[in-house]
Amino acid sequence: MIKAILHEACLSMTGNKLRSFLTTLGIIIGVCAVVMMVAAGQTVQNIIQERFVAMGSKLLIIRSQRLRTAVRKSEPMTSITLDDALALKRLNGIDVVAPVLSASAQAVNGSRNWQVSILGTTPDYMKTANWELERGRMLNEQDIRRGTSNVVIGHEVMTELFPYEDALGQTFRIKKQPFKIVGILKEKGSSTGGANQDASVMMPLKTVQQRFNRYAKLNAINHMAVKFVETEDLNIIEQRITRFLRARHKLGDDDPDDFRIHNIAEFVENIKLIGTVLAILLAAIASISLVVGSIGIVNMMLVSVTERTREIGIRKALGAPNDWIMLQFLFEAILISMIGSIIGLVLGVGLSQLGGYIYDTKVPFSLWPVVLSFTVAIVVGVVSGVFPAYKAMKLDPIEALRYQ
Amino acid sequence: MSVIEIKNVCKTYYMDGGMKQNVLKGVNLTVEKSEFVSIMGPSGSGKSTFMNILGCLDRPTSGKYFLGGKQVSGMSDDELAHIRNRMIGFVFQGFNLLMRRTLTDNVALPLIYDNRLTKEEELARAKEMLKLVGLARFADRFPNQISGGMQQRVAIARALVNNPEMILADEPTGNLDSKTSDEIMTFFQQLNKEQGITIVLVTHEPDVAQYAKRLVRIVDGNIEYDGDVKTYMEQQK
Repeated sequence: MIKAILHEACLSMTGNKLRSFLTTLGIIIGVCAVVMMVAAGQTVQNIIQERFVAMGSKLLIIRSQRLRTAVRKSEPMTSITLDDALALKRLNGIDVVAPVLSASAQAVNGSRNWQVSILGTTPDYMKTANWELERGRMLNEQDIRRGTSNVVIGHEVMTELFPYEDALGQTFRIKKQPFKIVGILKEKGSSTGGANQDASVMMPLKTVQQRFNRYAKLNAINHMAVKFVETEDLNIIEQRITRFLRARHKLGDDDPDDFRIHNIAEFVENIKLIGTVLAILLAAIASISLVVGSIGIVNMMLVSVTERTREIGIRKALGAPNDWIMLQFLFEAILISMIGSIIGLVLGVGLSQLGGYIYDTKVPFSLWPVVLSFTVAIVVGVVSGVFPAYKAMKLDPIEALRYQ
Repeated sequence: MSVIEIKNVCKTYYMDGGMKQNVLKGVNLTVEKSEFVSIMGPSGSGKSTFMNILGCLDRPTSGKYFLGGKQVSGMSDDELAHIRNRMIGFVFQGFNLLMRRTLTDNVALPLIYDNRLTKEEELARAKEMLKLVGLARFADRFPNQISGGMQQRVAIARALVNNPEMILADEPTGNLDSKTSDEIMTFFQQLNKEQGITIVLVTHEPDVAQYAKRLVRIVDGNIEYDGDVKTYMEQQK
């Protein structure tokens, strides 16, 4: 019997193609929007994940925690030293340690000047910060050992100081001291945590100590970026570093830490959460159009019942039982929303992949919009079909036959 | 065994405000197999109500109705639907075909409501019926592509498709010109004579009623005349 009812429902649907199509359109747009919004949300999440996790999840930043007010003027503002960094490098599970001594200064080239952040470090810093060289070379061991005045500059520094000429190999000044550009970093745009790469001037740590820092003999550094090996657990490595540094700084059991370990994983988790919330929000907005689409089905089915009153009368006179009439209308509604869902799904997936292609981004394809849209199709079909179907069932055949 | 046996059937409508209207006031009627009966009556006589009861579209307020030996007067909606499907072939004034279906699908329509045949058997049976009414070559056309007379013949094919106990025709020529009316009525006569099909015809036109052998005239909720058509016609002259 179900097969026969389905057959009748299909014939009724194909009998009025335009109307069926227009009704289906509502569901098509709804499902398509949901699928696309979910895909967009997931893409954003993935991009965030790629950008941060690649550089961040195995990265720790250790900063000095000594309060400004607690120090006498002659003491350095920072409690961690280059020696700490060198010692930490030998600790079990640590991959790379990049000590950083930073300062802010005006870079000058003739009449042009630009505010830059000076980053005194080692070539290892590149490994922790995911920075890439555009041209020239990176600082090398010799630069580090000797404290040369070779520097690698950010993109913005290059364009501001040398707008009309090739910056590579040129010399500019910071606090009247000349520096030679040996490398230029790739443009990265606004920075995500850590230094703004584009406005950085990267030079050997020793050079910063000797030329800009008053506390050179104390070997103090601002912070260090630590990258630990893949297999280590974040919490365990944090505990290990804490124990190690407390021992090195000879802190008593009651003394607070004089440094602070920032992990990017937490930050990444937060960003990921924002991405998830964004995805849900987008999907919620898109579902509104799905709701509108299903109201369209209710409307169409109600009109259809009125329009087909006579047909219902004929069918009843010829012996259609009540549940037959009811199921026929219900199946019609379900079929329409199912077909709409399938088309919407295909269209949504297709368009989001096309969007990904145009913007050169990988758009993930996940299964749950498929499951979702079919669930929605059946629910929408049943919900929007029940009332009109019930109305059709309740029609009196005598009245219905008289209907013109 | 009688096809129709109606005993003291009454139908009362209750209006808003408590008014009672007795539309049928104790009607008795017996129709035997292979009879051709016309039911006539002026409008408002209760003729339509009587036809609805005969067609199992409505239930009598009181009295008994046996159709093919089964008492149908106390049945539920779905049981009545089943009876209509198996025992009665309807032919309406307005043809009542489904416009967006082919003639074959239209004729096969009653078959889909009882699950005895496969889809192929249903369509084969429908085509057989179309052949009987001489429209086999229009099997895949739609109702709006053929004339009114042809449409009515399709309706007759549909009425016959389930081998009913009787055909109930409600003003079957009302929408047709006189020449086509003639054709349709002759066809009914032929069906009755050659295949022994019981036909109950409801009409208000004496010319149409004459094709039957027996006439039942309802006036004011009662049967006023029940007998030979020709005798009645002669009385009227």
